[in-house]
Amino acid sequence: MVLEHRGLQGVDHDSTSPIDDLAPLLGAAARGDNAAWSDLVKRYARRVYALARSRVRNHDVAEELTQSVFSTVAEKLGSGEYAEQGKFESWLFRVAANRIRDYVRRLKHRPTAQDPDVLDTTTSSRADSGPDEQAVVARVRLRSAMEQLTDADREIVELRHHGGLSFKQIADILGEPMGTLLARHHRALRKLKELLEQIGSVKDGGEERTLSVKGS
Amino acid sequence: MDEHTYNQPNEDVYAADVSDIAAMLDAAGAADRASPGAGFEARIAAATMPVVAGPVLRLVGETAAPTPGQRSVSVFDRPVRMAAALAIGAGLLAVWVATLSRSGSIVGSGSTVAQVTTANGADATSDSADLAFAMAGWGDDSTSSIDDLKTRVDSVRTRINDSIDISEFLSEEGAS
Repeated sequence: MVLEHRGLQGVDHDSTSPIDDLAPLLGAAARGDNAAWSDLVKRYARRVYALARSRVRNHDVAEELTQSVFSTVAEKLGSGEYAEQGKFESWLFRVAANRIRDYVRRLKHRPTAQDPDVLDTTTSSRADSGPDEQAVVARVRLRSAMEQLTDADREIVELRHHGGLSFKQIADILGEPMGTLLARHHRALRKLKELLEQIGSVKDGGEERTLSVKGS
Repeated sequence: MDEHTYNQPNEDVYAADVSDIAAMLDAAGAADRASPGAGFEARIAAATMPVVAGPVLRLVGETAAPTPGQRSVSVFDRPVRMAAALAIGAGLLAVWVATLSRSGSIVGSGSTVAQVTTANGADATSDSADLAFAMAGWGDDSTSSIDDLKTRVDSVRTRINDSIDISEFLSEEGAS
């Protein structure tokens, strides 16, 4: 199998301090240290938000879900229900995944508005469009394709690429063996590729065209 | 061992056939992470800060506030409830004892209630005996008043049973 190295693009590594200081940070936050809590939120809020946003496609709802997740985390930290054992990220994203899953389950009975970029799935790439516009179109198509994945596969993809988690962490969260998880991730990406090729063919008038990301 | 990293060895290696899709997904994730404007983290922190600050303000011995949907069960609840139940029970018992003591039904320190008998010595099983028992409870242990009461009741009953002639009654009323 030919492997290709890809970094996790867009993960804000600068926002995370050295991992060794997480335990004291959690302890300080649990004792009510506002600065420590702000630091913790700064490290993880956007990753939780991205996970929610990818699923609900609505900024306001995603922010509310993020706030809800951090409220729960704060409560558990404050009450001593979470004991730091080096798995804070897994725990945090488990809380987030459960919260998002519950919301989506309720949402199926009560559809809500989505952000415009997702609704505009008929947007087609034009020859005179710039790289930025093509990137937006590519993302819209990607999200449209993700809608067609199973919830379970989509969750793996989003935890990995939006939450920025390692496969080991995702395996912990979902309670699956690493091998199974990697296979499911690979299968999900292949499915996405096929869907994107189909969408690209339809959008471009039948001309076979594989989308690629430009300018991002 | 802390695992707070997503850049572990071989973590970012994808099979060549999906590496382009993985790159697109990473870009989409980055776009979503960047989409909240400035002040996003401050809003989240400010909204959740009071929850974190909660324990500092708690009194010693106070328990954490229950999360939504969680039952509020305090370790102090059970003893307090038992003490309250005992206090109520003791109160009721004291009232009962005081009532009986005032009526003189309690002999000495025991709980023997005065044996009530009818005039002929039979056990108190009839209505009259019940009445006598009730009267005894209120401190009137003389049978004379009971007999007097019985007489008056019989008199009333007789007068009721004797039907009143309405015409006679009306004529009497008219005459007056």
